[in-house]
Amino acid sequence: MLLAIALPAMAKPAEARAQQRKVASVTQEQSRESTARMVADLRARLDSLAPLLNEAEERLRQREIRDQRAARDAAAGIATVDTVRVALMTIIAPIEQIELAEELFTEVWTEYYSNIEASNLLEQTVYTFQWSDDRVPIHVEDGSNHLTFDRWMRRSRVATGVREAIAKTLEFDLKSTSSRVSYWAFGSPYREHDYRDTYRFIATTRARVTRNCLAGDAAACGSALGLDAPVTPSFGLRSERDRSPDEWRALEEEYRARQAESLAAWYTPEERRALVAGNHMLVDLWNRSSGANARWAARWGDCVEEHVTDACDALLVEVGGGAPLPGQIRETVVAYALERGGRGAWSRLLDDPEASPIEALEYASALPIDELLTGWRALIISNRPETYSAMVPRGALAVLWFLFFSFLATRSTRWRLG
Amino acid sequence: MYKSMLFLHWKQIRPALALTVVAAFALPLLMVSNLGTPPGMDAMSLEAYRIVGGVEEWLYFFPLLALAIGVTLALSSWNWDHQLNHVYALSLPVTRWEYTLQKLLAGMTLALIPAAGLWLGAHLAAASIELPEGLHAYPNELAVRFSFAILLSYAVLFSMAAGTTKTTVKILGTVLGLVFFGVMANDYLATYYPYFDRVQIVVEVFEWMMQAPGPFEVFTGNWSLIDV
Repeated sequence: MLLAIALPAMAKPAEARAQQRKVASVTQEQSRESTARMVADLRARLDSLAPLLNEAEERLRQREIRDQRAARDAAAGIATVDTVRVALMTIIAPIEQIELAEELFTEVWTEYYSNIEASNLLEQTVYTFQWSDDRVPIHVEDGSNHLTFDRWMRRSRVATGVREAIAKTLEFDLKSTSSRVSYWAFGSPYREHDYRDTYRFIATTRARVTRNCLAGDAAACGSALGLDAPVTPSFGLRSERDRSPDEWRALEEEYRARQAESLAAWYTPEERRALVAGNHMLVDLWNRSSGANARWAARWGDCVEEHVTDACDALLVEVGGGAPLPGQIRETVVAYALERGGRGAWSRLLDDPEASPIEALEYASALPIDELLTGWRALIISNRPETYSAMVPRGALAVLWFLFFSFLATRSTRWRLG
Repeated sequence: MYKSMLFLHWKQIRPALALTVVAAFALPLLMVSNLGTPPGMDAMSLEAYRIVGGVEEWLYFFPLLALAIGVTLALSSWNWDHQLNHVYALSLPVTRWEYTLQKLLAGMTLALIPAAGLWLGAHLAAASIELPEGLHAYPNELAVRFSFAILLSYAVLFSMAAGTTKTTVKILGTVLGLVFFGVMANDYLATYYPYFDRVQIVVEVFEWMMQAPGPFEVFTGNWSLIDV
């Protein structure tokens, strides 16, 4: 009887063990298959990288060949390149093009950058210049800017390329200072600006303060540009970053309060509501109105549907709603300040990284900010796009040419039979 | 005689003219098809700026269409004459310049039809969207510019087609030859004279023709239906 009870009990573990062995073997099999797939996948990925590796190795080999050739030529006294200095810049070009390079760089410098007295980055940067289909190997250590142009390109296009290269260097020069004005107007004030585009942007910006700016209020222009906008604590200067959490919290709260005041100055309540309604990030919050987003979704509803302005302001402060006119427009103000400031304006602009944008612009331009903004506004207004304002003279010109070609038609070669 | 010319030209070109009218009418509507403010949403400043940007994508089609219409009208006006070796024209008791002038006027009249189509389409397009503050629509100005462009391209090709086929081929061949050999000559001279290194004669001539006081200035410039 005991056996009758014990045998089944003994059989069960055996069955279970057999079952376990079976499961284990299946699991092992699956694991092997999974591992094999993973290995195959990894192999495939590595194989896909092989062509890229080969290409990189080939380029490295070509570069070494070019460098060796340049070194051999130099050792044998065969000079293929020459160096020239134009203003603050060092230019290396093939011997047959060195005069052309000097001429081009001098032209560009004289026209656009002659007021710059000093620039650390310009003096450190070496420009290599080649306007040819046959490229000469020029190997320069770090800090070089390679300008290569195909022979078919027009001279004006090449000059534009030179101008853009110098403007880019100056942009990095400005950014390297980490000054407030560089954060305020990120970008290059020396790049070519289409003021007609600037006018279009300002005219189509739906903000009370931009309308007042175009109407003639210089202070409104300054406000629209964010000259008096509060600086976010997270983009503050290095000297301000060593603060305690409580101090940071206080700064954040102060920033939010000032930002809400600025929003009220920039936009009407309807415009603020429209900004929230059209902000894709906030709309997304509304669509995902659950969990942590519920609070923001509720505020979105208060703002857009219930027209509660405070809710709109809270949302705009949260997403970082800034001044109506962004960096690409502020660049034009810096460019205008540099133009008015004349010689040494660039050095003055970079002089004090701690200076506020207003102080930096006043110092660079040697003008009070109101006068500077009035002049800038006049420049923008004068560049209003001539959509169809010159239709009458253009129409008259078209009519004259039409009459000319009509006259030619009546006086054309005689028809002949056969 | 003008009416006869007009009827003949109309009879020859009416299918093609119908197509051009449809194209001219539809182009402004296509331009604004994805613009404007969605119902229930307020217009945004960014939307306004995007409207201007969106319109810019279509700007090239207007002068191209005007050119195509002008060329079609001009070549079709002389088509039968060339086929029949001007026998009909030579048999008429009118001077050559009178005949040419009346044919020119007939073509000008037909050119007004696609221009009117564009005028209607532009007005409809402007009325179909709510423009944000700061933007304005210019349907009348666009239609006038379009008309001038058609008439100018018509006059140029008409004057070329008014002569013999040989003359037209000579003119076109000369222009193309000047372009091709001019570029080569410029490059050759640039190796001896620095002036030609700075100046591309063919490009300078082309730019002069495309800007005031050149003949094709009307094709360049702003063709926006919507702008500030």
